[in-house]
Amino acid sequence: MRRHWALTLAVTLSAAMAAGCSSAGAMKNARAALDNAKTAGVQEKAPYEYYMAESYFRLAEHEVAEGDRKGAIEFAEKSEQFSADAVKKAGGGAK
Amino acid sequence: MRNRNLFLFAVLVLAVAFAAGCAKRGMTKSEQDRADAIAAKIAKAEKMGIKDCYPMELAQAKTTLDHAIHEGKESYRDQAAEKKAYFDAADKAADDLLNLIGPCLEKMAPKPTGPPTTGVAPPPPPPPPAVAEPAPAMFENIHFDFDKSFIRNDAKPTLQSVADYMKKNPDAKLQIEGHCDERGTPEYNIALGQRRADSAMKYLTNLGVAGDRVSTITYGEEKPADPGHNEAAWAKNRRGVFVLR
Repeated sequence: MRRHWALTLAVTLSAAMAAGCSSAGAMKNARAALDNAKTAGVQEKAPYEYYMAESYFRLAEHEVAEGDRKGAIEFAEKSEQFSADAVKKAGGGAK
Repeated sequence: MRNRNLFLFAVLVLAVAFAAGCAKRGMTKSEQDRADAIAAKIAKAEKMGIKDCYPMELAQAKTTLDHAIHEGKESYRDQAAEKKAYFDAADKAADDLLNLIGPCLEKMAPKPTGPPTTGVAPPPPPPPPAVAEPAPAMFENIHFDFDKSFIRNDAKPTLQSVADYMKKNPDAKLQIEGHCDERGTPEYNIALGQRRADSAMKYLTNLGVAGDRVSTITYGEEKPADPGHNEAAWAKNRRGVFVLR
């Protein structure tokens, strides 16, 4: 019975940490969105949104380096949103 | 009983894990005030159209402030010096942004064009009154768009009549007053009023009026033509006034 509880505790803790604080997924998504925006050539058509995305991504990297996963996720998600906004504003990409 | 204790222990451990990993501490009042002040600077620059002129600098200022706020809230970085450095960086970025407003407005202002080539020029104004009192404004005022200093099309006939008068009266001297509406800081409006006066002067010199016969002065928002606090009043107050000296 004691072993059962220990296992439950370990799984719960892992799940909580993964759900609440993991930044790898957010960073991956943000990088992909930023790369997509660059490829779409949004720098000319939506420079503000592009620079916001880029600046937030740099902040996210900074937070990862400092071990602040919460901050990394927060900034990565903002970066991803601005990348999407840039692509949308630029009309889906360079034409 | 043992199960219940274990459950309570698990809840406690979870709470501690969250507190250690993700907990935040609110910013102090002074940090919040500083963040608000920096945000106001950035908002002002944005309102002035900096987004179109300097998007990268605007993005940097905004994200630097966001970073400072984030760091300000982090409990495990509760170090005053470090947090101050983040806010200093955000403040500097905001100040740099404000300094770009002037160049931005210059960049956006179209160059004055020559007088209209078609249409009938308005009749020349009457000669200046021969009185010892300070010469009253004898030309119509010209008006400007909000936070702009470029010469609008509706101001060009007035400026043409001023130029015609100055050419016919070579001894006349003119002072152009630049005025603003009440929005914005007094300091900003002093600069904006000067840009408006300069813009009108440049237009006149392009029309052939010698620059040494024209002077400019700015009154910012200090001398409103209409004391109201609505758009109609503001539109009247954003003006250039021509005073014969």
